[in-house]
Amino acid sequence: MVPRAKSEFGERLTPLQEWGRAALTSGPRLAWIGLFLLVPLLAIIAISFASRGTYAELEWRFSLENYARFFGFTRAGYDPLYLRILLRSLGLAAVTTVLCILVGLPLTFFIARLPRRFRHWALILVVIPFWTNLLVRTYAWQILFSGSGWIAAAAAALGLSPPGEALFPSAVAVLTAMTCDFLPLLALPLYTSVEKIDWSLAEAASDLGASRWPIFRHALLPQIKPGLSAGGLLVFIAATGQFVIPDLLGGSKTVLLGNAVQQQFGFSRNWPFGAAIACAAMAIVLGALWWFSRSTGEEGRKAML
Amino acid sequence: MEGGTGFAVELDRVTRRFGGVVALDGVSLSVREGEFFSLLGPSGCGKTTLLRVIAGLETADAGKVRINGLDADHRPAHLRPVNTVFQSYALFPHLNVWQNIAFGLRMKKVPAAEIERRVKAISRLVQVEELCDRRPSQLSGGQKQRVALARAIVNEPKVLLLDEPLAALDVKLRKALQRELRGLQRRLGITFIYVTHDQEEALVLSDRIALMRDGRIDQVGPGRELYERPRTRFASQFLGSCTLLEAALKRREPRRAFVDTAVGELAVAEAPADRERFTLAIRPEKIHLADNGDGSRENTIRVRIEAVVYAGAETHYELRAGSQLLRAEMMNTRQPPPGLAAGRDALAWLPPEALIVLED
Repeated sequence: MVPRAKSEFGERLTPLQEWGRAALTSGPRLAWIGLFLLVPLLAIIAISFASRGTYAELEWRFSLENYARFFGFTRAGYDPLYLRILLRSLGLAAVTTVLCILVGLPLTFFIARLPRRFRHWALILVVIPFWTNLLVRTYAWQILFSGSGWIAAAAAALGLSPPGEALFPSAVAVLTAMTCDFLPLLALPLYTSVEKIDWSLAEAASDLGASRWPIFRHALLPQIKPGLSAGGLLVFIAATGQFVIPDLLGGSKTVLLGNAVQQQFGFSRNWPFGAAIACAAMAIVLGALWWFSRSTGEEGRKAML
Repeated sequence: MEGGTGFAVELDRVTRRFGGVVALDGVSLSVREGEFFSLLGPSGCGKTTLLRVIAGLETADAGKVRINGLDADHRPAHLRPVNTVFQSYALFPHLNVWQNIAFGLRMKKVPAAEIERRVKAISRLVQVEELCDRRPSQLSGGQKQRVALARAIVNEPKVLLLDEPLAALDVKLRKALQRELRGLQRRLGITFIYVTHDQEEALVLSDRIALMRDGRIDQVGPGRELYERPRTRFASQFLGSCTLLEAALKRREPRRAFVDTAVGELAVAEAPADRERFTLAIRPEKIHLADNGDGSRENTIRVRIEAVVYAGAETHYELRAGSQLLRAEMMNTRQPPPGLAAGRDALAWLPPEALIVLED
């Protein structure tokens, strides 16, 4: 579809020159991605079809057993343990995504309507937490949610919790930390959409009899849909693999995809099964991505890349 | 809903400021029911702001807005019986033409069968029937314009507000759509308030025109009145163009007055009762030029032709009488007299009734 006429700089190139230039400029990047992303990925896929040897070594014997086990078919009968873990992870990711959207929408609209010189700073404030290590941030949440913290004191004053009691481990603590941690992933792509909103469409809708909610629904939402789905997907993907926060703030009672994989590669030393869990989860997330990009169309795809 | 005042829109000392800038400065105006009313003025004169105040998209800082005889000040845009055709059209890009036109009816929860019927009728009326499945991005400028119009009038508003709807179109299409708009307005009987900076467009379309300047109404009246009897220098210069002459009263006679000007003594049909000094305006086409004749006739002055410009239907002349420059135009109905060439002397007759006394 790309018209092949002149290069960006206006010269006419022969196909060979074009290829040469492409190789020169894109080559290093492709090599990097190939070496550090594609090769490990292929290795994981290969390992997921291998078997665990007697002494936990990798045995290159093709088997679908790992996938069967992931989907619940064990020697002892049907037990969808890992599907439940997957569902739990997806559920947590979905709730996190919804919370991020609920917080992110007003936030990005607020930033986009600030005077131009403040917008820049507001965005930096949104991103700053990202510069801190996730683990450090999560421990920071532990301090904030501890029994002597002001959040616990405030909750106690409102009668939401007994005084002096820590607010974690709890689902509220996990979701609060997850939402805050992943908010920048949503806020940045969403902001680029919100900033470009054509407000005259909101005026047109209002002129045609639309009140607040219909204006948002019919005139604004379609405009920010690319950013919203791109950001939402980023949060969803990141949250699906997350296990540190649930571990540290949720009390390590619940197994999620992330710790399941970690467990297999580490403690259980069952690389093939760990790889199978990772691959199956990845396939499912990629499926979701494909479905999203299809439903949001060309623009959504562009915003996502 | 009928207020029974006979006015579709009444504005009472409406003021709107943006920061330190006064966009509307105490504008009072009454637009009659069924009228094609134009707001004319240069860019930045406040005409679009005025339209947006009527639509409810902008809130007045002071003053009253009545629509259809009812107070509209506290009614938000979506509850006002008006619809707008925006300059940028503001069509919903994610909806097709049919859905765009149906939008207002859907918002008002009109039954589906009636929506179907009304959208169909309107799209036929503005000739976009065969475009109904297209997205706005697949339409030409003229087609977008028609869809924007259809989207507004399908709601059968009491007042239709149009913000320079034809500004983005080429001249031929603009002229054709002007005729259509005028016909449509007559047929539907809807009050149109039409914002334009194009004086010819305003003259051709409107029953009445409000000429605006710096957030104020300069003059309101039928196009003929504004053109033939401008009251201010601004009006005389914005609608067409006039030559201005500073005049000092010499003596009054019944139905005549004589004044001193830079081109000599002139007779005028009327002089203000309260002022001795005032400004006269004369339209270029009212000046009669001749290459010879009786120079002693009343209001006939000797001029030097500085430049001659052929402009198709008419020829423009730049004349000089002493230090005063005058502009004259003559229709090219016949071959112009050969003596009317640049550098030649000629006689110019300024009919007394064509000399308009300005108020400022």
